[in-house]
Amino acid sequence: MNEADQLTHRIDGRATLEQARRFAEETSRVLGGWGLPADRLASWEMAVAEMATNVARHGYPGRSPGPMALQMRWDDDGLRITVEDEGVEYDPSKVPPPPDPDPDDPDTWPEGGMGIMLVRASGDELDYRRRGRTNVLTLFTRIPRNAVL
Amino acid sequence: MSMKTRVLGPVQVVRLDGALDSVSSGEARSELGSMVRGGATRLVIDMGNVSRIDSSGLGALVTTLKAVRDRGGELVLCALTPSVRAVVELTRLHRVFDIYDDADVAARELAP
Repeated sequence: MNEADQLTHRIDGRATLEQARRFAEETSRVLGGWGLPADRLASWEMAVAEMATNVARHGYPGRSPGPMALQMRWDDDGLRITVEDEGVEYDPSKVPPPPDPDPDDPDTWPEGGMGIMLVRASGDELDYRRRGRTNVLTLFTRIPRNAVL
Repeated sequence: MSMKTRVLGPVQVVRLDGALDSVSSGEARSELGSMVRGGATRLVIDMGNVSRIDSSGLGALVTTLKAVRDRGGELVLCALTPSVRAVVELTRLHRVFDIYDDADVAARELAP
């Protein structure tokens, strides 16, 4: 196995909330093990939790949870964290951000809809592709390997 | 996630332990809602042992805050870890919640 192979990690599972939590926990463990900055791990862990939770909640409505996979890859140009599923087509770029909460107006306090905003804030680019029957959502963070290792 | 409550006069301090995420937020929302409906309208949520929070967890806190305010009460947060504080600030909810460093100080502030 060469060095590049060692900096790729994939986990396959079913789209459940419990699996989303496991993906999140695995993210910190794997990325910490790769030597990525400790102060960024919580942010990436949260991003994975949000991406996978969206799939668990909305990907397979009215049927048993289908496949969901997490892949992490750290290349020379940066870190790519991808969640894949075979559920209904879902493009997060079409999700509007929640309104800025006004302290004096409870109607503007968000009880949901914050997930994609948190994912975006955890990296530099969020890319969505529909590949055949598969949703591929990738968070890219510009953190070159040679700048860290 | 677990939840422990201690009473300081008219104020209830609720300490949350563990991840407040999509798995646990439903239970948290339900238990906090029961407390509020039972008359607890001065709440300090001690987040010092919350290892991780996501949008579901934040949603549970916002729901509880709304319920408390509807009853003329107040809910504040305290002892946020740096990673939890970062999430609260990213969502701009630090504009909505009063946040304290320490549970006892927060409880004193909430006492009438």
